[in-house]
Amino acid sequence: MRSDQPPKAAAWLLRHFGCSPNNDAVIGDLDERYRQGRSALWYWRQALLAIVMSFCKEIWSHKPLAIRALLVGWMVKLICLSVYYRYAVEYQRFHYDPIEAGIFVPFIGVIALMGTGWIIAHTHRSHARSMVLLYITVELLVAAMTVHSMVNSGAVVSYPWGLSFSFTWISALTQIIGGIFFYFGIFNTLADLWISTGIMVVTILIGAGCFRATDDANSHALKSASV
Amino acid sequence: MTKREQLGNFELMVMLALIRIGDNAYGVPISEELEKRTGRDVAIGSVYAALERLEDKGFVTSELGEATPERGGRAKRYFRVTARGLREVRETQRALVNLWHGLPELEGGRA
Repeated sequence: MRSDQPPKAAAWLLRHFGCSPNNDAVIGDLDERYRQGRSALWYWRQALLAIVMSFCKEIWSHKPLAIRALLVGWMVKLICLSVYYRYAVEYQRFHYDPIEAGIFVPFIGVIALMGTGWIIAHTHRSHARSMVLLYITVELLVAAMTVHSMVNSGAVVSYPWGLSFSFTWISALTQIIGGIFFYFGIFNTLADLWISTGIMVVTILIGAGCFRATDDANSHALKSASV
Repeated sequence: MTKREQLGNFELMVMLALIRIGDNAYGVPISEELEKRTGRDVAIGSVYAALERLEDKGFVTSELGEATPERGGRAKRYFRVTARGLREVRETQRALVNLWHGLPELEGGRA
């Protein structure tokens, strides 16, 4: 029997990742049409299209802000990486302790990722979701390119402007998750990579406040707010 | 020559649907009207993206309406064509008719 309630997961995704200033009205319209007899598959398709289209429209309409968001994100990351190289690498060189270093590196990584999400969201308040999603998309692309080049050539290729640094946090997390898998006698490099990438994305989103239960975080009322 | 805000293909379709619907134009009737007239499935996300662009260009205004239970308690957003928007639709219509005129390949309704 068909439920009167729209698919919860699709509605949740749209509520938290829809970038339109009219996101609330979009969800209301989809709910109304679903209750008029549309299928769950139709709702899923519409929700995903609404997320992608609102994201593309927001980025296209605010190109200078998008560039600023990326620059802010990379600046925060470079600051965190300088802390990491100054303390973690030197510490490993002189007093090598894999367990302590293994905790220290991901700890800095999690702080850096959450901080990056928080700062991008708070410096682009009225377009926070789209800018944070753009930053994550670019980071994932760069990480994928880095992994691809490593698989092909056996060494990390440096992309312009030090973008391959994004791989640092994934690499550290992957090593730890790989270590946990190894402890239980499981060997799956691809699973390690997927899990650590997932952790990276979720950490940035938590830092940006994307999982907070607010329906109007991107509301029309915020349209005129300062950026 | 000064740059003039122009209507895209889908934007023009949305404007015509808005004019046709009148006062009750919000997401659901607009997408239903487009589906009925074009015979194609329309994504509500693309309708809102077009409406937001039209609002930025000053061709459309919007205001919040009432919330209903079938919408999960969420308010409707009503859209209305501005005088500037109406003028732009007329300009586009004139340009299209001029382009259409005198093309033997397009006469008689055959592709």
